[in-house]
Amino acid sequence: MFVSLRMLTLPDDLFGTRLTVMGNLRKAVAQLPGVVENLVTQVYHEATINAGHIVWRMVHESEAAANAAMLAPAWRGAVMPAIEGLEMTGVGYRMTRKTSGPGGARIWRALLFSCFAHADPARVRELEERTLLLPRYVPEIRAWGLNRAAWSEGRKPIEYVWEQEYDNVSDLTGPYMETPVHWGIVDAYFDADCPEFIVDPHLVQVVAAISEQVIR
Amino acid sequence: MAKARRVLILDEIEARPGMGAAVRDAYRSTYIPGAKARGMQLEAAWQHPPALDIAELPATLFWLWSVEGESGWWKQRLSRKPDGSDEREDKAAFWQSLAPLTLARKRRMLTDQGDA
Repeated sequence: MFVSLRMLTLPDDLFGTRLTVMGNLRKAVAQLPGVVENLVTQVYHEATINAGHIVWRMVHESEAAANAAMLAPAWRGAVMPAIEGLEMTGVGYRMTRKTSGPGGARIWRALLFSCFAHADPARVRELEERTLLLPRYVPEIRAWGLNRAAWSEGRKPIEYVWEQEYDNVSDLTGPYMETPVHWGIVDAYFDADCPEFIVDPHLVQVVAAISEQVIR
Repeated sequence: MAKARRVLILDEIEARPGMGAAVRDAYRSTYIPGAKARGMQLEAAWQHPPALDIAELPATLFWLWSVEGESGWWKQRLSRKPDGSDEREDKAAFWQSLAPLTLARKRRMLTDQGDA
């Protein structure tokens, strides 16, 4: 499966139209070929960073299908008009490293980040390996995916998408942040005080309330 | 309510031969005031070689800090400048300024063994 994840930010003068934008976008995506799943929802009101206002996450059978969707007439004729004037941060990635949950999670969170261009590849690999310790030590993480971007669009390049599902947002703000695996080990790669620091400080953290599984 | 566990932060910096005093001075004058402002408490500062600077040898300098619990740890980590912007650029700039004077450094997060 291939995911096209986009975060949309409305300019202040268009903020009041967000529900209309979401409705129009859902209708437009319904006209696209090869979309297996489509989530268009509001960004959660807490625990977000640079996430904008609307989350739009499409799942396609393959990267080729995702590319084909963007070349379909409905992309130009319906999707683009629906999001005209909005700022977009996007990333496409293959869902190859993931564990789905049992269902029932109500919160989906994704951290989008990139490493410095000069980062030692061995350090980058360490970061990946250590990030993968989190689902092992934080049982509140019901489902997760850590995947590398195939492409990204927006102000900054995005290299990684680190997604999780939780039962409640308090599982993200509580156990996920409080585990020693996070502050004692993984965060060093994000922390300018640590010699392991390799992650660009410009992060996107997006959270959304969900009614069905996102990570499958 | 359970008392927050004490989290220790240990900086270990290996200064190039003859640079021990310069690293110590830079850390004292630049890093320590900022760290204290972020809620970190300085518990100890040690060095090797002991008791004197030997210009012919590298010097290893240690600073041991403490914060109260995970919340204290995240407070120093997510600190903001007075204008509300991320302080990480300043932190990175300090460590970069130190790099020419040093051979290596580590920062490790520690707790009492009784917490394991």
